Amino acid sequence: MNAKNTIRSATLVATLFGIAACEVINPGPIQDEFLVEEESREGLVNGSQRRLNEAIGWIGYTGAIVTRQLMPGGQTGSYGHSVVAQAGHIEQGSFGGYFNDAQQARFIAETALDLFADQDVDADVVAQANVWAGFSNRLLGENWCEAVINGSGLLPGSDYLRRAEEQFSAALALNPNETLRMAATAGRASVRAFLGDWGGAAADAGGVPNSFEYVVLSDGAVATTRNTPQWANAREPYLAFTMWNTHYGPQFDPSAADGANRASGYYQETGDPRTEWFDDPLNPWSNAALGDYGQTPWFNQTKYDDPSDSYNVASGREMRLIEAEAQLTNGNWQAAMTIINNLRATYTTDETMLHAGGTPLAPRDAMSLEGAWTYLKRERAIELFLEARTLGDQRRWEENNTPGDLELPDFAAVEPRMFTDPDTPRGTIINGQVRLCFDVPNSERERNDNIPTIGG
Amino acid sequence: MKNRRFANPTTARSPGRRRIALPAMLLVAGGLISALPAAAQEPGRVTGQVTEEGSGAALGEVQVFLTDAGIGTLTRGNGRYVLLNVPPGTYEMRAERIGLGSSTAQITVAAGETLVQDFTLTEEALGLDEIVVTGTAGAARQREIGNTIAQINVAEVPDRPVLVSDLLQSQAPGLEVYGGGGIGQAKIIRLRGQSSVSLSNHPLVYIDGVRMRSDPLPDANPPDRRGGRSGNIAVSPLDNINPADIERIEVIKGSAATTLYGTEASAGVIQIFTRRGAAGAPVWTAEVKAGSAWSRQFGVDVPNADPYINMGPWLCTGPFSCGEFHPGSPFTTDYSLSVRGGRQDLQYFVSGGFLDEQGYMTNDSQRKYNTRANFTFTPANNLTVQWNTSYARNALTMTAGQNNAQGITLNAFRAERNYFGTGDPEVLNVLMDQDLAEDIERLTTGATITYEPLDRMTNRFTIGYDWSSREHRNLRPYAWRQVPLGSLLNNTFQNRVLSFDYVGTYTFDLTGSIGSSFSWGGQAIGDDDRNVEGFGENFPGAADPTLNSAAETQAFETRSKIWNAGFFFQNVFDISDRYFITVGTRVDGNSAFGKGFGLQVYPKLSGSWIISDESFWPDLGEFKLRAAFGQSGRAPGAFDAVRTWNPAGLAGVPAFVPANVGNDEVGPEVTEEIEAGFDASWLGDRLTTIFTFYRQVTRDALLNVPQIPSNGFTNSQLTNIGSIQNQGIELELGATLLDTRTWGVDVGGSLTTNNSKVLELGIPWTNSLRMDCGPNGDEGCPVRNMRDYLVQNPDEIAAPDYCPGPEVCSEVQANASGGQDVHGHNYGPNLPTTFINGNLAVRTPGNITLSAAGEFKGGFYMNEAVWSISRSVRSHLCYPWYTDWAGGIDLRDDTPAIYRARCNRREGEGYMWKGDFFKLRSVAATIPVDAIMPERVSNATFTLALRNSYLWMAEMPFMDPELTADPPANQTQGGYGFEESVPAPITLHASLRITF
Repeated sequence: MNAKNTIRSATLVATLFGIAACEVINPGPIQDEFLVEEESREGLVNGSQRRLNEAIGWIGYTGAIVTRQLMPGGQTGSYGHSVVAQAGHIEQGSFGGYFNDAQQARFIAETALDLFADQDVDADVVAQANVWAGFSNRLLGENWCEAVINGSGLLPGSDYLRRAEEQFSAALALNPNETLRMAATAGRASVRAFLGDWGGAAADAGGVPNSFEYVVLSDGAVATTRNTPQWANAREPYLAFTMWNTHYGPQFDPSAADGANRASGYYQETGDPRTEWFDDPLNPWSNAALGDYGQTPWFNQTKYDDPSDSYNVASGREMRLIEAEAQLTNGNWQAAMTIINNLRATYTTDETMLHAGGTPLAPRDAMSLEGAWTYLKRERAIELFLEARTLGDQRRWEENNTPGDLELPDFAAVEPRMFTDPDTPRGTIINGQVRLCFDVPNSERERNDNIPTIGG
Repeated sequence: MKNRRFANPTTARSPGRRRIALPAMLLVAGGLISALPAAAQEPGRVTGQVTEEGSGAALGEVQVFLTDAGIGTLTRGNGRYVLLNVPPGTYEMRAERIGLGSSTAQITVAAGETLVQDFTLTEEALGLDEIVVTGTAGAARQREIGNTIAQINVAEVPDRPVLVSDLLQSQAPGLEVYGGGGIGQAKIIRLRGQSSVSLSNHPLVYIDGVRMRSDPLPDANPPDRRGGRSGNIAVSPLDNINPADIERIEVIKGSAATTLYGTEASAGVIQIFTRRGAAGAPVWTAEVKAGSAWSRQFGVDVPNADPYINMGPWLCTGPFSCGEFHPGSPFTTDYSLSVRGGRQDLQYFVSGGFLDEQGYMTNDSQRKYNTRANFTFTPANNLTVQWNTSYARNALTMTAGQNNAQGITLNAFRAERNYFGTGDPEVLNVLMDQDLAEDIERLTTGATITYEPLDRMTNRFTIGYDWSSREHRNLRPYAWRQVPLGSLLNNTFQNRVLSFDYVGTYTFDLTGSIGSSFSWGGQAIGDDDRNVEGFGENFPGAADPTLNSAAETQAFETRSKIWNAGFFFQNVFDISDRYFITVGTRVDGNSAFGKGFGLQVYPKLSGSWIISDESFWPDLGEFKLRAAFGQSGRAPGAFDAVRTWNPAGLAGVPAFVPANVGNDEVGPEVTEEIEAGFDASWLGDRLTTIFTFYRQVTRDALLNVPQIPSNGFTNSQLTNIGSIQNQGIELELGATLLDTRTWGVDVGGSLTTNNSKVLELGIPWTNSLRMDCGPNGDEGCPVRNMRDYLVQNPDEIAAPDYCPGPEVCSEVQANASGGQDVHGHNYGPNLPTTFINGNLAVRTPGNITLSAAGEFKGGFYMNEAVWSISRSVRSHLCYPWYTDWAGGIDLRDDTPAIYRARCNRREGEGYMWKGDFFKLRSVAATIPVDAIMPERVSNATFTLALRNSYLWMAEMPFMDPELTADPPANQTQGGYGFEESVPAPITLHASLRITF
């Protein structure tokens, strides 16, 4: 082999190999190091809102099944639930996806706060990060019995809420704009209420007017961020649940052709616009079939009628109910009813088969502390419908032995085997105790050495 | 398995027949070819015929050439050849063809003389002196190689199918092809099983030395926002090659042989070699094929149940009747035309093909066009330029099927529990109104320059470019039930593979009896994916829309590029042409490796010993012992090394969410293989035995390691941990039972085993692979283990008694995947562990060949629950046990436990079956019809082929075990399973092939 050929060959090999040494930059994903740049701040903070949207959508939807505010239609696949979840049972270790979204919402906002700590960042941007961190922690604290933070061991669920309280307070300390200040105040009021600090909760709530709303945006154009409950029951093609036989919808009537007495239920009786439903002759049935019953008549909610409908995370109306509940905790049930009825009076009723409509929503007429608690619980359920709040409400009321009735509908009348199975009670079973909350999922338990696996 | 079928026998043409007008397409192609230069006049010529020893059959496609003179050609179908322009002189002349021994003669050509020289070739059972190029540096004789390389001579496949993936089926031990039932749908191809858990297990594919896209083109799904999934199919680039253009295929199955391909090659390599030109007058080959298809029953054979799971109205109407062949409208017509010829310094092969296929599902069709031009240019004795180019276009239409809420199969299977609330075929038929179409284009071009500056030195440089484009359109028209104003998805995926390959070889003698062949080289492969998707909805009316017609539109784009490059050195020591030792190493870099990883080194060592060449060996036949060790790898994905955040806006505002946690140390997973065996022929080559034992261990296996969610990054991260083993044997037998001029009988068969096992996971928590086959979690499990409930009292009229029960299966761990039931009983692997192939070929007087081939797969389990019991869908299996089969799901009081498990919506269990099955792959008759052809036709063959006509299943009560709906887009594990699809049909094809 002559030297010239050897050199040529070696040069060619070296050229080819040199290609491998070239760094290939692929477009799309953003590398960690770019997060510190000023242009990235808004996107980083908004990432928390995005994940919060996803978490609230699914937790609100499933929570409504567990709290008997929606009746499942039998859908088990996309936008549906397993048979036991339809019965309202939360298997231990399940629903890891919801947990992941909520944890990531918290993580993104808290990562932003860590990055901003060493930088000169606009106060409103930092306050916004605190507000999203606070609402993320509130979502976790209200819906999970136990807390895990950044790979920790199992902590009391209230640790999330105390973290949220600190973050809302930190936002307020930055003296941000009016909207963020209201959001932080309302957020702090709600976590203080859950923690039993009724004085602090009522004081915060008093600073937020009825008209205030703070929302997590949805984006109907993107699969993961559209309004989940709306989509689960949209006719494209999922008709996954029904308002039939819930407290608000048409009641079960075995003698009717489709099993539904349309002239019955809270909405028909009161015209309360917050509980409106509708049916569709083109889609008379939910898809799939509910257990032994078969297909359920399909009646849809109207709170969310567009995939881009946002979720409330704070409102002045909730603040009034916090004030009312604070009164109830002190035994002042008449004062509580006054607040509740004043709030109801702000709504104008719909015309229904049983109600003329066009009038202020009729007041509740409680006769006792217990009756007032029943109405308070119902008002919160209506006001916070599909906002991922009611499961937490029902848990704290149960754990605090508050008086009053949840007025749960009789799902067992439709499908007794599904809704009365003692092995799949409403809620989850932790240490032998039935609790209305989500369990720390296997996705965390199997990977985090600081917490036990189920049965481990 | 090595093909024992007869070498394409032909008979002499009968003179005096009248001409038959050729199709117009032949004339058009002929016009194109006529522009090429004709052969020039030279002083002498050599002519003759090549026939097969024993049968005396004329042999086509035999290379006839003057060694060291650069003059040669291929025989025509009647075995005849002519060498023109032969300078006067004395030459060594040789005739050779794959699968047949070579024959050499000394000739002397005088000026102006025509010399007649005939050759007789003998079928060579082992082909130790055949040249193979796959897995070697340059090319090598089979005797030199320490590992097995299967060669498929396409000319010897009697029932050559219209798809390359079908052509590969059952052709070699360790080569498995399964799945895919729809028209144009890719099949899963595996070599020696699956050695990777997380990465592609699809072998690399090269065509004429040019790397092409190996994995199927991904299927396309609309943004989930608008109603259901598309449920369309993935299409394989491999199946856009015209089988008629292929001369042979080489298959190497493991890392012991693929070391020189380096990173990305541990799933094996398939090398396709297309036909080339030959000096001489143009030789035309035309083939016309027509066929039909019909469905085998795939539902349950119970009273009152549609035997096609409610799909009967769409399968059993029109020209095709379920369960029987209907000779009406052919569903496939396939035309191929090629011509080859040229001068000594410029030779060509040009071809064209058109396939028109109508599926037995109403909306399934494909129209595929192929063209190819291969040129060989020899400007000097030591310089050859080979330039091959092919272009294919495939227009596919599909029926919306699979797990698709707006597809026909899902809604038909579920009847009144579907998304329409009715099983009425007239209602469901609206689903056929949607347009689901793909337009696929493929271009592969490559040039190879071979330069021999010295007698002992060869340089080969190849540059290749492979381009794939798939435009997918899914139109749900205006007034569509679930999207009343309609929607349209347009997704265009493009892939470019740019390859550079240089190999140099220098041969020299170390001593008088020890030769050495030193090779060196380098390769660089760039793989570039681009995916652009537009989605629109809400059209103003029923006009044929584009995305511009939509009131709302969305757009998406992803891109990724990976470069892999490396170099290698190899030396082959040749001791007395009997002992061969090969040592080599490959070093790779890859843009997807972590910055902290560096380069990967893959060593190889192999040896072979031709014992039968030893003096002590009795005259029993040829015997070669061989053993090989080698490594090759698989690279991680483009983004696995880096910690990233995904840009994901929300309502018009930018947003970032965590993506990969990143792994700076990530490198390739490395598969190491040892194989050993022997090749032997006995009884004068009438009996052959090829045996191989192999053991593959994938170390630093890349596993998707789940992250701790509360730490913020929830996506799994590819990490080099764990190890996986694949082990088995390949035993291949072939025998010529009878070989006379009038009769011949060949039989062949193979036994292959493949057992995988997870050796080590390296993950501190259990259930990461969700296999759980024992008390140690996944370790010890086969890759893809099946675990499910076991009903222990199946026939008892009582509630099901499940395993695990606390007292029976207490040692079994629970599968604690989120929200799922505990499935405690370990059944076994989901992938077949035993393969038995058999084939038979009978040659009768008149050179008619009758052949048959079948395949058994066993040793695996499948879950065949295609009904959504939990949604209260009525299973056909349960019909005999429903109190009211026409509508209810209540079970009779005397229902056995197994059916209580299967038919109760709260349970829906008991659908695990042993998957063992046997399929008759093909039955074919090949009949020479030269006698009825016009004078100019030198060879004509009529073939009738029936494929997949018989299926036997050990346990499964319905469905085709090979249904597996679609290969996973990233070709990872690809197990045997079911979705809402219809299985591949039985096909019958008739073809006429003529050469003139």
